[in-house]
Amino acid sequence: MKEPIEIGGVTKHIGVARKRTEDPQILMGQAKYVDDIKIPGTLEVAFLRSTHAHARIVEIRSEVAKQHPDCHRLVTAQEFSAGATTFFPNTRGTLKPVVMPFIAKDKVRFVGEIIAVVVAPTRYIAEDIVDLIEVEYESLPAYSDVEDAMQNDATLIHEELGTNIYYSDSYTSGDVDKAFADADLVVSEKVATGRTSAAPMETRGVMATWGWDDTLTVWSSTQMPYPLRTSIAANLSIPEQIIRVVAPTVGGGFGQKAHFFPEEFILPWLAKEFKQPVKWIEDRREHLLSASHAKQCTIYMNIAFKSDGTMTGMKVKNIGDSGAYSQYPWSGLIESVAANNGAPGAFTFPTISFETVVCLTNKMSTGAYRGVGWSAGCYAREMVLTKAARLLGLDIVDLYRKNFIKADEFPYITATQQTYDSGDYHKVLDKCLELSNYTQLKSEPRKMSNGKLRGIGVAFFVEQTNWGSRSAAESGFPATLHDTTTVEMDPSGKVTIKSGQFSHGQGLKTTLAQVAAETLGVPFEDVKVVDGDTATGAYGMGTFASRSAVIGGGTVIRAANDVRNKLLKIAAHVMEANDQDLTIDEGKIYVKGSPERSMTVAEIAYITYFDRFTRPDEDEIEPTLSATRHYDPPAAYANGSHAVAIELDPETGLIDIKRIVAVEDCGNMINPKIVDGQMRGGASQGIGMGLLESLDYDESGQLKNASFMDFLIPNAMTLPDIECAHIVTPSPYTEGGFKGAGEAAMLSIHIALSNALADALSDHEGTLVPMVTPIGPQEVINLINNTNQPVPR
Amino acid sequence: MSEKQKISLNVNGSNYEREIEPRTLLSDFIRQDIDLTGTHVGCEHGICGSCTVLLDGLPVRSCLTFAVQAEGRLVETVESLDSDGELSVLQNAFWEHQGLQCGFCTPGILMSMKAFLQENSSPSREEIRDALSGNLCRCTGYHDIVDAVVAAAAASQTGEADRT
Amino acid sequence: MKPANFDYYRATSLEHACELLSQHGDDAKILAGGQSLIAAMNFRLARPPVLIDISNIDGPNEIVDEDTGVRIKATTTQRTAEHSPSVRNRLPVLAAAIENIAHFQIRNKGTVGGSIVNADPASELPAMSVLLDAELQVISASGEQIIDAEDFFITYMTTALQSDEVVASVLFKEPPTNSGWGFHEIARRAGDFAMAGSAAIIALDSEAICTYASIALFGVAATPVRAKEAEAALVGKNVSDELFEKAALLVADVVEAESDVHASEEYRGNVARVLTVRALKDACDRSKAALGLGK
Repeated sequence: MKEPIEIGGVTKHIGVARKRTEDPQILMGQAKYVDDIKIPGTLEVAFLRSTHAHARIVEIRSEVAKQHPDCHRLVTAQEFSAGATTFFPNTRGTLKPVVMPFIAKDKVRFVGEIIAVVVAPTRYIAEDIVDLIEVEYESLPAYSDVEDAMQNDATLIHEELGTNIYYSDSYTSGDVDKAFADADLVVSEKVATGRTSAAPMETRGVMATWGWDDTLTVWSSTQMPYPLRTSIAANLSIPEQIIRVVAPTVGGGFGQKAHFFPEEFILPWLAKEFKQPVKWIEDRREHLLSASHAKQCTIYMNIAFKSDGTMTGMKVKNIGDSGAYSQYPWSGLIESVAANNGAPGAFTFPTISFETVVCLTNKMSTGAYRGVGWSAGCYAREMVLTKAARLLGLDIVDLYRKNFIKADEFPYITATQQTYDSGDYHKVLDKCLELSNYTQLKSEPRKMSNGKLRGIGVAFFVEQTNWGSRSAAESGFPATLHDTTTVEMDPSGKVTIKSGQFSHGQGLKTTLAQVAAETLGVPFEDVKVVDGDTATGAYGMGTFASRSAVIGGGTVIRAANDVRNKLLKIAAHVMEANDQDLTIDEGKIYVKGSPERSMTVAEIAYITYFDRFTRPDEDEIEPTLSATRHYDPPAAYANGSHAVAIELDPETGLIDIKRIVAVEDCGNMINPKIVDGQMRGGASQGIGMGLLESLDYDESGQLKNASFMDFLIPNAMTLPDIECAHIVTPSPYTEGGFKGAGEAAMLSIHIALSNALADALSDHEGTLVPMVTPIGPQEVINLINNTNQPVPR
Repeated sequence: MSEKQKISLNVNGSNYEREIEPRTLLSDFIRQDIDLTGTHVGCEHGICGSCTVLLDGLPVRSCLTFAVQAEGRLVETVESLDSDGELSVLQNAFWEHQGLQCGFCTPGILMSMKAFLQENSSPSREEIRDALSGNLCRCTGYHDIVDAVVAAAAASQTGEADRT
Repeated sequence: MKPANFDYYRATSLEHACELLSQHGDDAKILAGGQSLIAAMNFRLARPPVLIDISNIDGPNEIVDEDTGVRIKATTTQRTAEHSPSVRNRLPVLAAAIENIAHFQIRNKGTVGGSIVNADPASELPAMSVLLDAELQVISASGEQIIDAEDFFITYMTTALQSDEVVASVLFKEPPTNSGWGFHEIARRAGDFAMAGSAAIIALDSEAICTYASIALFGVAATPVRAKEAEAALVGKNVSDELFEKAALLVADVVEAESDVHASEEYRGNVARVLTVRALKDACDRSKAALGLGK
């Protein structure tokens, strides 16, 4: 592994909380999202979606619909029968390939699955035509509970698999049975985490056109334009070189838009087949029904303890509810396999065994969402810790301190073979406890004079960041990820960054420019980042899994460093100096210590391009000022801690969140304000996941709350200010010493919230610790009444 | 097929006359018929607030309004806030305090907050949160938006600009 | 989703609206603020073939003081009612309830009449109309009648209104002098539909004996309901926390809650009782304050 590059020069741009370049356009309403891009002659698409959770399609009667005067096209699987299989060839366990048709063929497997496609002049009319299509279904037994679908006599959802369980694995390290036999205390719990949706404010959307020059252009609100291009080429048998994919401004993704969806193949196919521009903008009901779901796992967690709080072993079984398909491309393993591989968290478990089962149900497929797998996996572990702490007469903080990996133990290889690069967990925890006044609040009486109960909860997390090939493999996903960035300096000395990373809200146009400015020594204003368009970018996997600071930053550092070195060699020749003696600062190149003898970057750039007499011989030093570099980093593990203070109304079960403290150690930070933004946004989604959000299917597989009226995400009154603090332990392995930061709160804040609830109820009889998410008023009342059963979903 | 309706209304200071199906939502009218795409559609349930515009000065959900109901009225959208590319005090405050990330919900929030600050010129953080509760944001966690509104209120108080 | 097609008529007055209604019969629906109707149409759950728009009639907002109470024209926006001095001074419980309706963006357009006719049992305004013994002035092409709020709500989203009738105005009766009010609702988030709610009006005499009680519950049955048994248990008695707890137990008689994604029927029933106690305590405190009695 190469040594990271030391960024030359003063740290002028790294660690600066500067305003974001992208903001003025957005604030003026000029930023263009998919639906804002107007192409004359565009027709709109509406889908007929299944109203049955599991059924054979007996007949589709579309004659009346086709006769509607404005029906341009009506397409079913008869005309377009392509599909995709999500399959990783070298997983630890046995993985059966699950085929997802883009349009349902002979059967439907979840409510919301596409059965027919209508193309019409407006969305309004397209929906009128969809209303005219009749479908005859033959109902089949539908499964909304994964443990029902796992039964031997369950009806098969994919007959060709011969089972509904399409993946299982197991892993053991150390003598787990002995650890459990010798334990002073074993705590075993069944934990059920609720199903949710990332629900970005911009729903999905796809537009496709076929050009006069036989090229296909696809706009999609996606996090992965290049991989989408590759996938469209493969699935539609179109040469990749004629495809251009554009992700314009993207209104939030959170991992949900880091998938490939049927609509992203249907629209391009329509454009190619009929040579007309077509557009589909998802409405919110479609979104909640058919954009990937997340977080629902059933976890059997067992941990063995000594009476002093030492954890000697863990046995965990994670049952992943995959939904009707294996979400393309990460697969339905994404929750459970990632969870189990990260099961040890911040702790030195000497022994561990885990079992993973992934099973189909008749619901929308489960995919990646911020904190993928770890939200559920960490919750299961931590709630068992909280319960154990109470039974042992300790505080969760005591368990943390007893079992943390220590600062001098890094790099640390965990019981599941993940290599944590660096960290100081004790320091981060202490900071959180100090800022939140934890000890003081713990000592106050739970009951308040107004009849409410106060509670304080704390949680700690380790987050695997920068998903490159090695991180993915350490989490159980052996795939090769490919990321590059091109840095170009033009004759005027200005710099363009063409990245395979791009934002859906993270401010990469700003942070990558900061990194480039730092590496090159040019002013920030002279750097422009272009991204999201495969015609003008560089191949990269996209932005997800907390990877763009490290991978985006790292590729920029490498490529910008190449350009810098070339510039200095040319400048050395021109200025008759030694290139080792030269430095660049704010666009000026000069001999270190003698700033009066200087030339500008712009002057050297112009000479490089157009003055062959002054620049060095072109056979010695080629006069190009651009570089494309690749970076596939080792995993870097960020960490942090959350504290949540609540007031609980024990008569109604309503929780009022009074205070949130968030501490983050993500190594060196490029832009601390943007990191704060990630911490705060993540906290809000984490609170949503922990308190409010649950997509509820009934026994027949109908989604009961496919609207924002009944699927509740946090509003501004749901949570208070989020007080942020930072600890910095750089990664010794990554360019820039950066680590990722995006997912942090989703591994921790819902745990802190549930710990606060357990704390508020600590005077009640019994050890009342929630074992479900979300903890809505009904769940709280159940807990108080000590029924403590997962609420059926 | 129902008869089209003629409507005329004023949007951001310009008069428009169009013939539309009466079922055309005001949000779609703004975005498609007069090409102002700054107003966004997040749900069409009236919950998320991304589509908020001012109707005769009051913030409303344009997705829960038929365009025909805006006949003869004044509509203001996010495009009315800046002055030829110069950000308003409110927009500037959002920029300074990073009151946005993906930006999809931002136009609706700006319109709601513009109206709110006209009625309450020095609000507390709690009052801001209450006023903000009708606009959903998935990216920011609201904290930085509240900071931005506090700053905008303060800047307006010191008379740095007489438009919000 | 986008709404289905409809024929559109703009009424110039409520009388004009009645003429149009009698022409189109069951096909026609009244469009006022549209905050409930358009949402339902956007889901294609409602597909009225004809819409009669009364949102732009002359002088839609009108609030008039009368002897027995405050008369609010049906097309008055919730915002106008919320800020009206007559409402705030004479019907403070109504002002408090309106402040709880959704968010101010909805109240800027939603109307008092529209919300009452929509008859969502979890809504605040239908509950306030039964709490305050409102009288609904109902007009049609063939005449006019008064319907008492307690007779108006038949079941979930269904009222006594005939297809050719329009509510023209609502007279909310002013509570007795020196009475106090309480209003409590709970929701998962600020501005959501209430999971359950309870509002109370209590009037005391100088010995703290209850002379009048009105308790209305919402979100706990197919319509808003008056808890008459609980009210009867209060009148003539000396008020105390124990009395309120006992009376609140009687609201179980009117609770016919359903389970949904947010709460079970058991939860709703229990919480209805809890909120009633709180509303009664607040109402009692306010009445004592009005009378100058100590707590």
